[in-house]
Amino acid sequence: MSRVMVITEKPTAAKRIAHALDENKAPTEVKKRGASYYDCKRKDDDLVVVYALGHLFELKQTVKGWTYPRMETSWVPRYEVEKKATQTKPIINLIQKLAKDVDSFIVATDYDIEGSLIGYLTLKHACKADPEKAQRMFFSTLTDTEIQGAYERAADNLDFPMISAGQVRHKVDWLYGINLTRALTLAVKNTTGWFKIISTGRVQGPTLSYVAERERQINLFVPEPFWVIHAKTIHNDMEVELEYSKKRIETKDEADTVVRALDGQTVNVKNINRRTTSQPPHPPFNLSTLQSEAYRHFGFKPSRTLAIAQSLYLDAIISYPRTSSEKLPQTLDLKEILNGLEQMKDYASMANQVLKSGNLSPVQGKKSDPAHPAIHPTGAKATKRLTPGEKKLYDLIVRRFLALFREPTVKEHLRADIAYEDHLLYLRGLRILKPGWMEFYGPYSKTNERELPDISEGEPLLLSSVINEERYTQPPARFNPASLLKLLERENLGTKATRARIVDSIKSRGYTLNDRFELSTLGYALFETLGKYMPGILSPDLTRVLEREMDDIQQEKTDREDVLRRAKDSLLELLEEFRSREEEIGNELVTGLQRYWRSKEEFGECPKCKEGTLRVIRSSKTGKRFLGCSNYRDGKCDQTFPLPQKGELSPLDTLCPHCGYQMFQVASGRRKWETCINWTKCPGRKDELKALEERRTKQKSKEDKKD
Amino acid sequence: MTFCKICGRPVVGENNLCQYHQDALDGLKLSYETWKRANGVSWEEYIDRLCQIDETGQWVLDVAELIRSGDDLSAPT
Repeated sequence: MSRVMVITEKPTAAKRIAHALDENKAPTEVKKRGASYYDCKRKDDDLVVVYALGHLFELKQTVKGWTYPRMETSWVPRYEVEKKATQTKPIINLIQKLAKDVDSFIVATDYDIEGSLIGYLTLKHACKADPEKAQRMFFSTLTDTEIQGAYERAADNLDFPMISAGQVRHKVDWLYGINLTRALTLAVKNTTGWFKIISTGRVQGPTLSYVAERERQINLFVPEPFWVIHAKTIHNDMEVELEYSKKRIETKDEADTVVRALDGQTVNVKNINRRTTSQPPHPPFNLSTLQSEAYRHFGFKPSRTLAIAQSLYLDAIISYPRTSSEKLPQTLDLKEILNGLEQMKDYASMANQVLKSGNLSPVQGKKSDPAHPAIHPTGAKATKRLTPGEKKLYDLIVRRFLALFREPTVKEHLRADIAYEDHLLYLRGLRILKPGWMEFYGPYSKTNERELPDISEGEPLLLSSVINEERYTQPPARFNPASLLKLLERENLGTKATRARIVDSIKSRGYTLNDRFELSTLGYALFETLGKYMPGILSPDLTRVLEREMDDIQQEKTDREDVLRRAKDSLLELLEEFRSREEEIGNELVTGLQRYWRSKEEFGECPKCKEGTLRVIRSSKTGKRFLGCSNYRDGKCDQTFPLPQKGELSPLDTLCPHCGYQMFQVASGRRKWETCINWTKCPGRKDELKALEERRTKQKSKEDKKD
Repeated sequence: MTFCKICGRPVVGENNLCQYHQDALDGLKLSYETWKRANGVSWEEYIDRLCQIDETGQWVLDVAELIRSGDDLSAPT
């Protein structure tokens, strides 16, 4: 009999794995001072299933001082670096204690770079064990069958190339993130004495530059006019709109000529073309396509989709979500998954149809991932009630999966060509002949079917109305979280696990405004300063080279120490150049910061003294915020206005139509509303205040009922 | 150092505009050719129209408003 420690990544995963491995499906949870582990029995082995909490160890500089350059690091417990990570201390202590009385170790963390590194660091620094002697479990879902199989077939070695790549990624990200952020922050501090963290990093810099470049295109956009023709005819008492063959007409003269030539004329149906197209199902989801589709249909930010998918994975109802693969391997037991889905009310009929059809060969995509298959349901039932967000995402994943087994959708495109002299008009129709996979994926694949009127070749049609409409060319669209994430993936920047966080950080650092990634004045200041003094940080080239080198480490094509040395050398060169121009850089950042603070915290001219500026002030006694005149300190003006205490405030350029005071926007959670600074007294806002009062009363009575 | 009369950034070139607003002025002059060909508008009409269109970029709008207010950023000949 031997005692084996199984190291997992999270408490939920530990519970699942312990349950799957225990012979009686009843592992005992042993709680010890703010942490716990599971005791299980399997054949002749006593298993101790412990969990990490994501990373238990982080990098810390070995030489003291909040300055740069700092190049030497060591791995230390996370609670030493992050004050808030207090939960990691009892967990590390417990693992340390249990490891003393263990014969062997198995790493059962997620099979990806981060998971492998978490397992390795826990083994090395908490268990004080020799990683060379540990085993590794590989799995893509947390179902009992897969976990048991992974345990029986555990590899005798850890995935060392992946671990090396993970270590280099952490070190390089730490080196660039810490040193560049300190350089920028200290440039401001040494110039003015202000302390404001100005962050950038290996991937954050290029991401900012993509946003800034798009912003530049939008701000420099000059719309140009063009004209479109709208022609109508009456057929069987129904008004029918026709499409002019030339979609954009460049000059007004030409547009007027077309109208004069066609208006009131009788035209003839020259011929009717029929074209049938066949559209196969979309490939299975990988993380990026899932994030993009979830944003399109539900408005979920990529980071939210990842968090929800992770929770569905931990409940063992979908496979591991951090995958690039669009393929489902042949080894996957599709029949078992479909049998499981057949037991679920919402999917029973669809799963049954697939099983009966006998076609169990799903459509496959192009991208692959050696570690995990495409995201798919496991067929297992949820052990808890799903939240509305989880329900939506699960439905999307299941329907996409089921659609893979269906035949293509067949569409018939009809086009009637209608001629008059040299002019050609079209009448289009679209019919679904065979819904195929769209029947299953229906809610997420709408097609605008349009019947073609019952017309025949040679039939005359009277044009009842022909007009032209002036339109303008459109600027490129601003990024949204999903499109920015897609761009990072296309440019091979960051990893599937880090991109969502980088996209979020651009906004949370104040570099962009709103959900549409509009560059803020602070974003401009940073972009302009980096562009002038450290253009390499904004260029995707540097980080792309590093990503390639990390892939090479993973594939054992290059040595990790070489990669690290090269990264350090180029960073040192960059920092030396930065230091020599620190004052200039500091001054430019300060100008940008001043503009940023003005745009966020200044609410225009004081309506009382007409000299001062209204600014957001926090009361030192109550901590509450309000607007006060900047002349207050000189004793010249005592004007104040109350402010809502929750939500992010943004002054607007408009005045209240009721009282003439300045308007501002409040964004709290997903709710946004606009009001004026005089909102508590404004005659036009009485209804708003009444509604607020009613909401509060309603909320209070709800809470009273609960109590 | 002189600063852009619109946004206060450092000036480039002869028009007392920063790089962004100078680029906007260049773009504005370039597109006027297309507008003139499309509907024969005069320079003044063109500037007025741009100020009314939602799609006009912010820097272009800044420059157009400056021209409308009487600043002499000469029209293309």
